Amino acid sequence: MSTSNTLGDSFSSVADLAKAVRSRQVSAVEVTRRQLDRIAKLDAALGCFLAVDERGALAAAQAVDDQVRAGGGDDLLLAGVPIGIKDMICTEGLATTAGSKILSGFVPPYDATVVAKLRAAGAVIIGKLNMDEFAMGSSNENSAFMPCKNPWDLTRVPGGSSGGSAASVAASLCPVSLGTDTGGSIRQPAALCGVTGMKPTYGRVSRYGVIAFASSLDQVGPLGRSAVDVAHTLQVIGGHDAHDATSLNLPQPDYIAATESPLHPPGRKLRIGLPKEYFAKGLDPRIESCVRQAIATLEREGAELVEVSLPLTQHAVAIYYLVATAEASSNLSRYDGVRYGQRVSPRDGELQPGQSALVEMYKRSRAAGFGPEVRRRIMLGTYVLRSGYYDAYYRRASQVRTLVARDFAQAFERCDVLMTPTSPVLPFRLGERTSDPLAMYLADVYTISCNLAGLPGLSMPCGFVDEEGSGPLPVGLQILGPTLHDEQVLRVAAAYQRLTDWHTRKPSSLGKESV
Amino acid sequence: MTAADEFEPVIGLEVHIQLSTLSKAFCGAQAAYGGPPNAHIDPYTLGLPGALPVLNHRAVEYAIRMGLACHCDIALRSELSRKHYFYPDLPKGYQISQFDQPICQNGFVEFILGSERRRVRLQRIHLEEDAGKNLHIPGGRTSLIDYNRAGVPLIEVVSLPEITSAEEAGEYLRALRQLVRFLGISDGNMEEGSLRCDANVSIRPRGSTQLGQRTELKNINSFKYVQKAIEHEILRQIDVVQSGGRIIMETRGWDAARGTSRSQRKKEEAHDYRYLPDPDLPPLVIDSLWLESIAATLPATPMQRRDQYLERLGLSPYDASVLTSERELCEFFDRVLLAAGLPPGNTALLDAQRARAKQSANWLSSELLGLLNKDNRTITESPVSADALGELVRYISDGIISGKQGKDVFAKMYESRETPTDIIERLGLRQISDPELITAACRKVVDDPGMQKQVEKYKQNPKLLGFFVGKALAETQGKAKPELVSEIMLRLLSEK
Amino acid sequence: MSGHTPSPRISPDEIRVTAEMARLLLSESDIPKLSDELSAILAYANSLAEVDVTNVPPMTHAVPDHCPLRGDVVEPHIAREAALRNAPQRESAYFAVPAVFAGSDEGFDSEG
Repeated sequence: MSTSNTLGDSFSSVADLAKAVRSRQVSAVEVTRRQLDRIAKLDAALGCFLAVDERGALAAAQAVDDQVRAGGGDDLLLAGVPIGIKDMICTEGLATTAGSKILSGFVPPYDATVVAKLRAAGAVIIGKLNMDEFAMGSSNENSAFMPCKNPWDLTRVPGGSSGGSAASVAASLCPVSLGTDTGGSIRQPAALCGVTGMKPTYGRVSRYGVIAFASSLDQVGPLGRSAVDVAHTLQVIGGHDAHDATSLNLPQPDYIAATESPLHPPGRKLRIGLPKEYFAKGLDPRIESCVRQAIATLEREGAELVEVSLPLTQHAVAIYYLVATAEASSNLSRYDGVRYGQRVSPRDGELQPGQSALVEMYKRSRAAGFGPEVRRRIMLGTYVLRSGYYDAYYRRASQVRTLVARDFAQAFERCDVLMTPTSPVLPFRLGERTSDPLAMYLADVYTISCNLAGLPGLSMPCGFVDEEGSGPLPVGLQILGPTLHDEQVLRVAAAYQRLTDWHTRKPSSLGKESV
Repeated sequence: MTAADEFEPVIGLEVHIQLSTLSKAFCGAQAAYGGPPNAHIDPYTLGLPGALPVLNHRAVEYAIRMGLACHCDIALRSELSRKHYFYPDLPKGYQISQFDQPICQNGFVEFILGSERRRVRLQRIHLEEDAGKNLHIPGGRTSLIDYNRAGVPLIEVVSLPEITSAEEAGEYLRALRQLVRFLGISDGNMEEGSLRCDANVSIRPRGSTQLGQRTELKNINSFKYVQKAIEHEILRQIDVVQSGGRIIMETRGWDAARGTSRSQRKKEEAHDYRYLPDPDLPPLVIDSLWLESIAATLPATPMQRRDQYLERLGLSPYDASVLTSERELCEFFDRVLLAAGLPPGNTALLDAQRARAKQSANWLSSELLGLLNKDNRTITESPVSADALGELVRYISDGIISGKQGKDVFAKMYESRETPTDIIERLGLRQISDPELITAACRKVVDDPGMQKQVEKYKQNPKLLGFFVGKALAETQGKAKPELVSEIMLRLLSEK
Repeated sequence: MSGHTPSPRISPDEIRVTAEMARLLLSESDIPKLSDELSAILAYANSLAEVDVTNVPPMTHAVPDHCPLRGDVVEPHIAREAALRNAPQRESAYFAVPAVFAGSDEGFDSEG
């Protein structure tokens, strides 16, 4: 694969890049062009982007340059920073599909709040990123359009559902990206692609304009090379939004400052909780070894280790698949072929006597528009909400969810953050796990509880495993914080990244990089 | 005993009422009725991917107003739920409504049936959003959808099944309309669909306490048809039972054009709405201070007004009914009373004041409303203002002008919008009631030398008093107060 | 809504009823497969029955906050043309669908 440097890679952080654009060391247009060139050269093999918005990106970059040239733009936190957006997030005038055929051709007439905030901060939206259809999946293989590949080994999956968001950052197709995380969809691909990705506390980032999968679990978050880049992006997209009734009406913490703070809280040592259920059977020992080394690194820095227990972890996957599918079956009811998206109408003479053309239109449009995994989850979600089953499934799962949240609250009385592996397995090969949905679900065991409890969580690379026949494959370390303590998670992640260089490694298969 | 007398109907009504907010229940799109098709739309109204609901403060306040006015228990914590079904006018595939935790429970609605005061108890009142409109082109292969109405806030008022006749159902519905207009929360206009009614109807042998199988009657969209549709359904059910049939649980649509109903959906096709607490909307928590302030500023209900008119003012039930039929009329009447000099509020009234109140009611209900009806005008379009009418009543009851003169003045007020004062001054109608002036005029008559013959005759025949009074009145160009003239004349004549 | 015991297996008929509710056209060959897959997932989920949830309120939202209310203010609308451009079928300013009266699904406006 050919070498192609990007200007974005010449800067150590998006903050440096934005500063260079603001001080006219480099133009946003030039940054954008180089970025577009790299995408053009590399993405055919990777499949990160579902759409590249060359015209829109260059126009946005030009507008930033114009503003800077006119003496403004001092407050543009992400001036000229190219960013890829998961195709789950609405962008005005730019097709948004949620990775689904049912939305093919849909052009949102409005921007999601996070997108509007990015634009206002001078970010350049470069394109829409590949994903599992409606964010349902852990390998990006459920994209209705094409699979996305892991830049560390093109025969392996990048994880999911935000596979494109993670792979594009890993392959330097954009310095930062946005993903969404319902049960680990930012953190797991971040782990599998060796980048840093964060799911903020539920309610910290607006969901307005973000296509819903499971509304009580979904949260938008950034992926980037480092905790510092993630913090900068989160600073821009976060904050209260009156258009989202679940958006927290609280002052936004200074995430950027948190990444510049020391590891330990003022006046005492950091306490790291190690939930024993997360180091149990099913965890690849090579992953466990990397994670334990990372924890040892922090212990050497003075952090205290506390063993904690989250006994309800064993039920998390079950709760998740009942709650998430119930909400999804409801959220996906709007895709009916009436106002937008794909419609399949019965042909003349296809209607049986007594059948309604309208009802058949619904059934055909939805059957043809949704892929098998989405159909399976709609079926499950519809079933568990049926009167008569509601109490046994949805209601009971929601009650156990309360207990999961209490478990975490108790654990956080004894520690500041939890550290765990992000994924029990290394990036697997495309097609290797598609046949058994339940096995695929169980691989989400370490990331799901965080969403159930609404906590902040982050994954970052903490080592590499040399797999036979592949190059090095990244391993992710997950940091979970108490609710509303997003800045604590970022502080610890940034401190770790000051001590180590795992996050600076790039896949060699994609050619030499200039730093 | 006729066949119909063997059975008694049991009716429960579910009434949807659009709340007259500016914006929709869960988004900032305009809530106004009508407009060009698909003009009142935004991402939420169309159920676009990613759109989210945020609940309208005023919609909640209006629902609480209704709950308080219906004596309901207001839930300090209620839940917004999704009710799922597929229909082209329902943009999200679900409607946001309330399921097992509605904002208002229990309570009752009072109204007058014939001359009797009736009370229908409520099961609940809940908040929800309206659907859009499907337009059906007869014989056409497509239907057209307009989403302007989608998302407009509604309350659904669900009565217990304890209405026992079609007539009572009609009165109950009228009472609801009257109530929401008094509360200022809806225009209650059935023709424009801001008030819609579904009826659950069953019959049972008279005297039985068990409920029969019910049918649900939908699509009753005019006051004219409420009674008719329910009556028709009662008779249809009696007919089915008497011809050995069995009532099946079904939904029937009322076809006003044909004056009949037809089956729309049988029980086995009944929806399973798969209610789900809306994950986009945390529980609705009502602050108790807010609740108190809504209660403190709650407008009086028509029944409260009616009671006040009957008890404090001593109006007839008929007048009280007429004057409480519309909030505007009630408010107009209150201003008439003030202008006529009655004390506001609930202070007890003297007999003379009650008489003046009755007089005011008469002028309003028979004179002004009579003319307005004839001209097809509403009270708000009245050329006679409440202040002017009150002033007129005052002139009459203070004896400044006579009742007969009052009618002339009123006619001129209606024509020219002049105030009674201006008309009375312009026409010089102000009555003379100064005893000195009247005594002078009377003296002039009895002291007239040409009159002495008649004075003598009077002593024999007191019936001639009228003759002298007439003469004295003529002296004042008819402006003297006749009662005073005859009183003074009687005294002067007796002194002769 | 009160509690049936979850059935250990979702029969093909239940799959058909559920698909009808979800407005998904299934091929006959999909049905046994879905019946197996969903049964396996629900069998797995039956472990939740072991957890004591007496007096535990359900967590249906991840925010403790109560429902915020918006002022009754009209906000900017979207351009009708931008919305209608996405419509699979339109007639002038209306969205269009196969006639709702055709076939069995007779109806008036939805229940509102």
